[in-house]
Amino acid sequence: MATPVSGRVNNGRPPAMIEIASLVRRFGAITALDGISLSIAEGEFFGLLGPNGAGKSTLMSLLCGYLDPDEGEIRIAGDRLRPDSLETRSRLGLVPQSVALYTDLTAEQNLRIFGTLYGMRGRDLKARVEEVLVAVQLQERRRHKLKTFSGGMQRRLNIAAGLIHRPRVLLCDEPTVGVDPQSRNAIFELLLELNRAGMTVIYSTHYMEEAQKLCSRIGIIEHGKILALGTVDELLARLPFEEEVSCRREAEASVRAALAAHGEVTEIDDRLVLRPPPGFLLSDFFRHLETNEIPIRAIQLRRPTLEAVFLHLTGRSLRE
Amino acid sequence: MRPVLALLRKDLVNFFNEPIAVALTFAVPLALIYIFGQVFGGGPEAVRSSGIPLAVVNESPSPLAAKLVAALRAESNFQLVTGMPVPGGNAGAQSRPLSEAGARQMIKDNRLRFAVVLPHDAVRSDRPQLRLRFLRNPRNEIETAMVSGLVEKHVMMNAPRLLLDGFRGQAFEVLGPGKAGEFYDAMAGTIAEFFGGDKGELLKEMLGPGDPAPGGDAQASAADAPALAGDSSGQLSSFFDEMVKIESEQVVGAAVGSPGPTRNVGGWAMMFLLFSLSATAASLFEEKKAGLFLRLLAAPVRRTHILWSKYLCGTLIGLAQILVLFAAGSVMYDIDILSHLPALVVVSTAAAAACTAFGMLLAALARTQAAAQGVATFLILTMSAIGGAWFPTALMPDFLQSISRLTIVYWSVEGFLRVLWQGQGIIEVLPVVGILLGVALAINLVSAWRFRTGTMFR
Repeated sequence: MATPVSGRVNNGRPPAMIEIASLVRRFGAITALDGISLSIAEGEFFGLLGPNGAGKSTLMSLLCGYLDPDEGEIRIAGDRLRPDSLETRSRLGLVPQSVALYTDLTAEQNLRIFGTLYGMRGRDLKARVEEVLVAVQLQERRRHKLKTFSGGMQRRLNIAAGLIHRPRVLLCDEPTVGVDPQSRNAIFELLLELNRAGMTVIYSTHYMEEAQKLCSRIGIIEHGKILALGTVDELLARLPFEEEVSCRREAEASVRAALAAHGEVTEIDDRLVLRPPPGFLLSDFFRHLETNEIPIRAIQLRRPTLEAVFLHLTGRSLRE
Repeated sequence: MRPVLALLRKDLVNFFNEPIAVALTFAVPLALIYIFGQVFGGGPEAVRSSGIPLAVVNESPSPLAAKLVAALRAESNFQLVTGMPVPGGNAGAQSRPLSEAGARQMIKDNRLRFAVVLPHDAVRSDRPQLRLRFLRNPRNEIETAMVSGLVEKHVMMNAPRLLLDGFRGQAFEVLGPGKAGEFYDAMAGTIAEFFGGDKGELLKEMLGPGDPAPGGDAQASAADAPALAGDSSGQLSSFFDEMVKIESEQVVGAAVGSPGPTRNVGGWAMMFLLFSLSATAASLFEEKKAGLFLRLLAAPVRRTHILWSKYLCGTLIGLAQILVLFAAGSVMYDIDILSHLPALVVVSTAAAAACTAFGMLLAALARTQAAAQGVATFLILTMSAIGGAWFPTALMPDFLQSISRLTIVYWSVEGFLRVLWQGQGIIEVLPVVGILLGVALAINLVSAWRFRTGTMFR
């Protein structure tokens, strides 16, 4: 069995909360997870970044015990996760990709149900429901049915349901899909606060901005394999360049040609981005602009993102 | 027009994307047409019902009684039962003649519902009169009306002829050839009018080969025999009443205050209860679609917890639905449920448990909610039709009657009738309850296996 990528952490980092070793999960002929091994420390905000279909949700389903692995094992706080390990599962809170709640019930009723399933009763449950509703800023809507909530409010309650039993680990499977920017920021703040309070958060996303903003460490996943693992800086250090050169997509042909003359250009959102190849010198590039009388303001230099790392590792964009 | 066509195309593509739903769209009406056709006599002879069981106890030494029994035996809608099983003998073996007491007991036990008893003095020797008893358990009004009508028809068609056969000599001697001929003519006409059949054929059967045909002075004779030849139906009826005395006796359910609704309420209850099939299946699919199983199974919850909660919920709602329906029947139609409440609750619980089990099975077997919905509709309608919720199973071909006994509708309706119609208590309905719970258990085992290997929790 392969050793987790980070191994059991003793070198200054907190002990491992989650250890995954040689995890394989197949769906018929498709291998969704192909021998994943990694270790996540207690209190870490770990990001799982990859495009749709990379295996993020499958890994989340295995981590929460919904699916069983075909090979390999998962340990939560040292205990192996088994189909019958209900107590081990209690240490985890899940925020699924969809709003997995009862839409005909009120916010309070939903939270009470999930609290009860985790063995909470009486005053403790009542107090915790209140606490969680306040945390997600839905205390005023406690007696409203979920189906009357906006998408963002539903997402917040989705998180609240994952927190109701005070889990040590929160598994968030793309919790901001379809959420407006305001609600998204509220969710980010909530998760960061929980993490600061000591909760281990595992956050899967295909938005590299989210991973970059939230996560202390990120695993880039593609085709069921972890391609790279590390902090944002560590991942960016894998790139053969320190700056990206870009221009607007509708820039003049001479600008676009200038970029193309110095390497492969990729279209990302509304920009054309040049990932400088080995041996690229900015001074040569600016000389080229000057020679061709291209205004410098048409060009933008910026620090690369995880998108560039993914492109560098896989040869394709995260958004493809 | 183009948008209409585009939207039409979209709807058709959606419709044909669900093969099970497409198949059932046509299968449901075809199945029902077939069942209705079989029940109302549309099927080929080979697959028709072997007849409604009718016990005949002939204690009369008269050959006329034997001829009447032969006439009843010739009726294709009856399956005559003339013997009863010996205790301890093989099931179904009829090795000793059926007595009236035996027939009554079989009716009380619901092994039979109708019996004709020809007592020792069924045929009088001094006058043309036939006396018989018709014992019945009218737990199904369609069946009872049909059997009563057929028995009456055969008795009325055959008895006068048989009786008058015996008295033909006397009739011709007393009335004279003209009046006797007129008498037979009037008799044939009356029988044909009341019970159907061809008057000429009947007359031919009544008259012996040497007897003179009516006519000639028949007109004059008619005036001399007003009781027969007159157009007063009251007089004719009185004449037949005098000639054929049928004592009809309701052996079971005589004390039921509101027979019609009491007979039917079980079938109604099952119709509505069957809808819980689709409700149970639908709720499982909806929770799956919402991702709730993922969240629930991430908690300290097992699949069995989810399935048990669904099963108990379906059963409780089904039970409440049945009891509310019975309560409404009690208030609106005076159905006596209070005297039978404990047994009624037991049967209702078993019926609800079996129905919910079917719903769980649908969810376990179907891949999509639409498929489950389609199969549920198919089951609701066909099981109601075959199981006796709509019409008596005895009218169906034998093979459909066999299938009927495999349905939960059949056993549930049976249980309700036993309680409400026959007044049976908990102990007496336990066999039916056992069958329903056994069916529920068997179905649940299949569902549990299928839920483990299927896609519902994946």
